[in-house]
Amino acid sequence: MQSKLKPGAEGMASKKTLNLMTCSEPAIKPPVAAAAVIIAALCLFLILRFGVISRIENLKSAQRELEDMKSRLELTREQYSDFDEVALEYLKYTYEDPDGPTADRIAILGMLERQVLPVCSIRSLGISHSVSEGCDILSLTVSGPTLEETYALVGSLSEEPSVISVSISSFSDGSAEPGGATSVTMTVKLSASEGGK
Amino acid sequence: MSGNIRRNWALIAFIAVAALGVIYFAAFDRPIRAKLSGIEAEKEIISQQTAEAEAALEEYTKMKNELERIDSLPDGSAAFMPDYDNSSALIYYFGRVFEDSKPELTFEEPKTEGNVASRRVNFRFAAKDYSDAKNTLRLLGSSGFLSRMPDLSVVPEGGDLKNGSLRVSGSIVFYELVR
Repeated sequence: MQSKLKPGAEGMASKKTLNLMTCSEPAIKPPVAAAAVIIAALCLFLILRFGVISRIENLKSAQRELEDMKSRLELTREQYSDFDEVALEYLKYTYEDPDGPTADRIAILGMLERQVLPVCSIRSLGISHSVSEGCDILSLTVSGPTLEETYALVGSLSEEPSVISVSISSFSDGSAEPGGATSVTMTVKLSASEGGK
Repeated sequence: MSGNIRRNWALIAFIAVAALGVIYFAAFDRPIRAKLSGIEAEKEIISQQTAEAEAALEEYTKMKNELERIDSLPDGSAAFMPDYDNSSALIYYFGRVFEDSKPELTFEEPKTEGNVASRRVNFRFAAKDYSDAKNTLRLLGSSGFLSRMPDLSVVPEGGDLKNGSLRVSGSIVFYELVR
């Protein structure tokens, strides 16, 4: 139904004032906001403490440790700065041939004087160094001993500290020899070190 | 209306946290991790080098101690390697050893390996008896120069080592330090 009254006409209801006040609730309630701020601050603190400061401290500590290690290394290296000269000087007195050491030749002659010459006479002797076996080989030809004496000689030679092994290559009873003396050829393996057994 | 605002704030907060997280990982966490792993790798290398240095120091100390021990010995009691070339000193030395006999000496070309040259000298001499031969051999081995006698042969002329003259031959290797 359409009103035929014109605005402002008598009898028409009208509102002279306008109430602009609105009654609305805040978007976030203050206690919630406070709690959120506290939680946010706590989170920020935890992130800063464990995510940033602690990481930076770890990095610094690792760097310090690395620097310490480097300085210790330098200090150790400084202690042997003349290593090459000392090594040459050391080599000068202690060099050992790669073929291995050899037994003292005079000591071998001494052993023959003790063990062989009282029993028989030496017709020839040869000493050589065997690189493959890593020891010295004494080849000995003696004349005069009986089989029993030869057996005893092998036993006494074997007891010498520098002797590794004794083997008999040949024994001749002397019938073929002009003087008729027996002849024995033996090989003695010798260690270069003292008490080489 | 208030519900919309809450949602907007929540969205803004989420985006802000996500952005901060991305920035944290990209600009802070990753470089720190890279630096730490670089440091760890370097520490491993340094620790290996330290182990090598400590082994070298141990060897150095051992050599030093041995040299001090040698220094404390009476003069001439420790054989040593003379500097290369020591051939003239050797010739002089052989002259003193074989004063009374007429030796045959053959000097081989020195062989060098690293800092060491080895000079082999083959010798042959006649001795009037066993003690003469032994004395000459003792002199040969006590030159004071580092040496070894790989080969030696003694043959009595009369068939008995203790009686009569002897033919002695062999070789002696002298070592010389090449600096």
